[in-house]
Parts: sequence; C-alpha cells; structure tokens
Amino acid sequence: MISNPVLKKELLLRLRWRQPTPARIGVLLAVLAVTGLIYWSVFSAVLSSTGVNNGHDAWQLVMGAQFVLILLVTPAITANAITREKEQQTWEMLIFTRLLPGEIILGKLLARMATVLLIMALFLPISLFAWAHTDHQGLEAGSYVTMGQFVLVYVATLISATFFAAFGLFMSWLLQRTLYALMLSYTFIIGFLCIGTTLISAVGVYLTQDSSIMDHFPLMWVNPIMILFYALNLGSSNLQYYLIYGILIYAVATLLMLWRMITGFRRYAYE
Amino acid sequence: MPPMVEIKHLRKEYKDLVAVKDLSLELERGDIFGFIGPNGAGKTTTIKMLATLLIPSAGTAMIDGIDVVRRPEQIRSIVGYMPDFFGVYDDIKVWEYLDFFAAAYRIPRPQRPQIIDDVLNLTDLKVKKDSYVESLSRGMKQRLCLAKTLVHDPKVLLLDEPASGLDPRARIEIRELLKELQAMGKTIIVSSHILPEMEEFCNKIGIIERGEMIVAGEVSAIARQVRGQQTIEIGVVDDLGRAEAVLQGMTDIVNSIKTIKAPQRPTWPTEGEAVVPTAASNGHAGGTLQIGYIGEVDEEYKVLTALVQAGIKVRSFHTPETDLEDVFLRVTKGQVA
Repeated sequence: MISNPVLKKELLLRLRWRQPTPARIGVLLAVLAVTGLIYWSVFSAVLSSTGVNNGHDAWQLVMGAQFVLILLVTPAITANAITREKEQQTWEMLIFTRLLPGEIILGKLLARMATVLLIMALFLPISLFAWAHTDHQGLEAGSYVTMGQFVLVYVATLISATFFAAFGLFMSWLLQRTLYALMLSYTFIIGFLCIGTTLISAVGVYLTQDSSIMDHFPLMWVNPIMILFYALNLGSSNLQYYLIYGILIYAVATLLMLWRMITGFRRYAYE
Repeated sequence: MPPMVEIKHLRKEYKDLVAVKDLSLELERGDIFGFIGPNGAGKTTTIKMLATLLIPSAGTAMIDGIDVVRRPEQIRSIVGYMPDFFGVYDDIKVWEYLDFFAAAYRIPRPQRPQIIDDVLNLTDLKVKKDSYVESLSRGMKQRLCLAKTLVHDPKVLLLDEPASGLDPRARIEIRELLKELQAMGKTIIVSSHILPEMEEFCNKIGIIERGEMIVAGEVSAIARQVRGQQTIEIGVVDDLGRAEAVLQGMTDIVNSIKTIKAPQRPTWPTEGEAVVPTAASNGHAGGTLQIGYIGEVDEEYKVLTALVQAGIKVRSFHTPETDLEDVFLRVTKGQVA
C-alpha cells in the first residue's frame, strides 16, 4: 500500500505547503494558539486542584474536544477527494491509467486519514497526561480510567473518523461537485446522525413519557456524540453493548461504501 | 496481423440521442487518422469509447486485436489518451507529475527517470523539469499532457483536439511533435478542427457528421471521391495557349482546364526605343494550367507524355495539397447529432 502512487501523490500534495511565508506563519500560530489553549486549560484544571475527579474530567474533555474536531474536519477533507479531480478535469486521465479502483479509492482515503491521525497525535500527549492524573487508586467510583478504556476510546474515535471519511469520499465519488458532496456529507453526519437522531429520540421520549429511552433508543447507537459518550462511560448499565453496536454499524457501513465504490468504479467510469 | 484499430458498427446511444451510428473503420500500424467533424458530431464520443471510458451501445472496437470492452486494462497499457479538456494538479512539479503517471502505468521505479527525461526531451520541456505545473503556459501544458500520454510507450495514441485553444506557435509545436510521433511509427487517431494542419500529417481521414462516418480513407482518394476528379497543376515555360489546346484534345481524361498566366513584369521603353512585342502579347507566355483529371489514378503520366510529345516545355507537373476544408464543406451540412 505504501507504494500506491495515488497515496504518495496525495500525501505529497497535502504536505507541500506553498503559501507565502506570512500566511504559513499565521496558520502555524493559529494552530499553536488553539493547541496551547487546550493544553493550558487541561494542565491548569488538573494541577490546580486536588479533587480525585479532576484527571477524569480533563481526560473526558480532551477526548470530547478531539472527537468533535475530527467530526467537523473529516467530511470536509474527504468530500473533495474525487469531485476536485472531476472539477479540475484530471479524473478522466487518472482512471485511464492502469491503477486498480481499490488503489485509487484507498489511496485517497488513507492520504486524507493522515490529517485525522495528525489531530489524534496532537491530542495524544495531553490525553495521556490527563489519563495519568485519573484516580488510579480507585478512591471514587467512576473516576478511574483503565488502559483498556483509554485504548477503546481511541479505537472508537478512529473507527468513527474512518466512517466520516468514507462517507465524505462516497459522496465525492457519487456527485460531480465538491459543494454538493460537502453539503450532503454534513447534512447526513451532523444534520442526521448528530441532530436528527437526537430529535427523533426526543420525540420518542415525548410520546412514551419515558426519559430513560433516550440513552437506549437504537437510533442513538449511530449518533457520533453518543458513541463517544458510551465509550467514555463504559461502567454504566448496557452502554458497552451500545458502543459495540454503534462502532460495528460504522465499520460495516464503511466497508460497504468502500466495496460499492471499488466494485462500481468500472461502471462509473463508463457512464 | 490484425489491423491496429478495427471498429465495426460502433454505436452509442443516450436515451433518444444517437451520438454515434454504426461507425466502422480500419487502421493499419503507423496510420495517422484525422477525425474531422463539426462540434457535436460524435468524434469525442468515439474516441472515449476507444479509450474504454464509455461503453458502446452496440458494435465492437478492437485495438491491436484486443476488445476495448472486454479487456479495458490491456487496452490502457497499449493506448495513450489525451482528452480534449484536461487539467493538471496544483503544487506538483513537472517531473513529479510524469513520475506519478509513470507509476500509475506500472513502470518500474528504476526505469522512470530515464523515461521522464526521454518524454521531456521529445516534448521540448526538459528545461521545465523542476517547474511547477501550474506555472506552465497553455501550450506547454498541452505538451506536458502529451508527454504524460507517452510515458508508457503506447502503440496507439488517441488525441482529442490536441491543438485546440493554442496560439499559432504552440499549434506548430504540437504539429511538429505529432510528426515526430508519426516517424516513430505510432498509430495516431487525432481529432481537430484545424483542417490545413491535419492534411499535412494525416494519411487517412474520416469525416463524421451527426454520428455517422460520411467518408473515410486515404486523403487524396477522398478528395477525388468528393470532387469526382483529381486536380493536377502543370507549369509550362511558354506556349500556354498551345498546351491548353493539347489538353483540350484529351477529353477522355481531362474534365476541365483552368489557365493561370504567369504575371508579366512591365517593361517600359526608354526614350527613342521602339516597343517590342513580348511573349505575353504575342500569345507565347508561360504559366500554369490547372486541370481536372478524371482518368485512372496511375495513368496521370499520359497527360505529361502528351504535352512533352507536343513540344511543350513543362516546368512542373504535380497534384497540389488536398484542400481538406473544401472536402469538408462539400460533404458536411453543419449538422450535429
């Protein structure tokens, strides 16, 4: 896979930063400022108080911030993967080469996932710091985060990110314009998965007058925010099962979209 | 040995629209085929079908004996395709661009630098090797696209309007490049609207209108087929009138005669000098005769023999370049599919 020409070309183009120096410095300073603010908030929250839950709360905050950032960024970086090629009229030449459909699709997906991995790498030190300050002595129930849960949250985040990326890519494969691909990606991921499922569940709560169904309503299993919530609160009731259902649905949906893009590639090229 | 390109009853339909109707064509190795037709005639559709980018509704197309529908991967390894409209990636250097396409055509890494140098030399872009692609002029981008098309050394080139939108200099550069490719023995199918340029290097042409191939074959044969005669230009040193009279007697093979007298330089007598009759004034001037020859293709010599035997001093005897524009206008009606 590392010798995949599409992956190499996409990484090269993404890593090459040819903006004027002032613009580069500006972007770098903005990233450093945001990262510094998050790091400072967590450091000060964890170190300024002796409460047993400080580390746990800070860890949840870090993981939440990381997840939301990935949720917002990922569709944007993949929804233009193929439409941009169509718009700049390079797509026809690309598909005319001897590259296999899988090489083109996976090359584009993996190159864009590099941005997601970069975000996760930026957050890793601070999340490790916060995790190290969770209640390892188990003084208070729910304040301790095991290594397993720490890894699980990262796994859930990565699977969710891959799903968001694959969905954006799928829209890009399906549509002709980046704008439409972007709009549909955000409409589905933010509009439906985050907001729509919550609203539908809220209607369910209203109709049944049972507020407990909010957490247990099957539609909520695919809500990205709830998936993170399940992962961060594993100890409670059946949440671990909901987490498994949620990430399983995401993983299967990701594979189905990739399969559709790869197998439908030839047909698409002909149409 | 099968024909390099063999198309039989190729057809492409889009719902109610028939873009290409039962198109048939055969090209041999080394043929340069000019695909001519008005906008919307079906040229690009045909080229895209040959390039495995569109599936035909009916008919077959084979390149070097390989079916374009059944074996698209094999076709892509022997065909180079240059679309009519294409873009380039931003933030990529010329050599990186070519290296990417070379890798995409499965050329082993050790061979790529040499191939890139070769195609850059061929397209005269060597000095731009480390330039960013977006900084190239339109003509250079066109040549870069052609260089990209050549990285895997294809046997057949499908060039869709390679000179469109270029200034005269860039067009000449592309034309020279195509001549070099012709000399390398590539089979080329090239569509263009610039007909005078096509007739310079195409040995075969096909005129398509409303999805139908109206005529296809050798350029001179088509011209003759369209006009019903072959134009021959005969230059004579003097006795233009007598030469015309000789030709008028060959009604079985000469259909028409047009006389073009050589321009006479005026000679003004000096004071006291008598006016001497010139060759022009006494009917013995030289000039050119343009005849419409309707005899057998390989019996044009009979005209020349007759003139020489009549004592006419023949200065030149040749068939002028076929006027493709004239042929094109005669056979098309300006209709689109």
